[in-house]
Amino acid sequence: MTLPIGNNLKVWRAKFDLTQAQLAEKSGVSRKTINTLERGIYIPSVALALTIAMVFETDLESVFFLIRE
Amino acid sequence: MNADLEPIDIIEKKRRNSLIGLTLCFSLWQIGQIATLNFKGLFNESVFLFFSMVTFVGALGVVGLFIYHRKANNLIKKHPELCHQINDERSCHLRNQALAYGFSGAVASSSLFLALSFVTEQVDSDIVFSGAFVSHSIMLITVITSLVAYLILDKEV
Repeated sequence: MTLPIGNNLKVWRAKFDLTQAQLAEKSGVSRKTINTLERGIYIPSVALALTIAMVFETDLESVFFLIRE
Repeated sequence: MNADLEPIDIIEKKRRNSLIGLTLCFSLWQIGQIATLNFKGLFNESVFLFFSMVTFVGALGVVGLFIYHRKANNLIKKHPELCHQINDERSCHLRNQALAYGFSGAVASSSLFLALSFVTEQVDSDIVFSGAFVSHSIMLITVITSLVAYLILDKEV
């Protein structure tokens, strides 16, 4: 069974002082997508996850991670 | 966001409301059409007039919203660099999911009509569902299921 995916998007946005709209623009997606990503409603594709990690100048696992029970 | 892009931002926010409007107007239009085309003999004049008005209002609404969407598309065409934001992976994913729900609605409604036809045949063999009525109804259920599914999936919690 696939483990659920969590994220630190809000933390990283605060570090870079980015609004959801600004992150959306840099990542090439809509603000709604960033919002649903942060809330864990939408799981990003690998390409989008890597793009967001690149925006935050960090590796993928620092932004997205598996939630182990 | 600069002043140039504000109309698109407004349109995106109104998009959901216009989609709700489109769903309602399309439902009215098609329900009115199904009723007036297939159950004419069962209605008295006032009921027939009511459904005719429902059809007319629904059709007007669909035309109006179609024009609104065309204007929105023309505005978006002026900013092609925003297309990947407006039409991103999540919206494509939601669209595919909504279409899948629509397909399920089509299969479910077809099965329902098939079952109904078997039952009515046993009860009274004179009761027959016309092909136009069945296909029209299945089309309506399919489209509405897709639209409603998209609206529910797209809802920002």
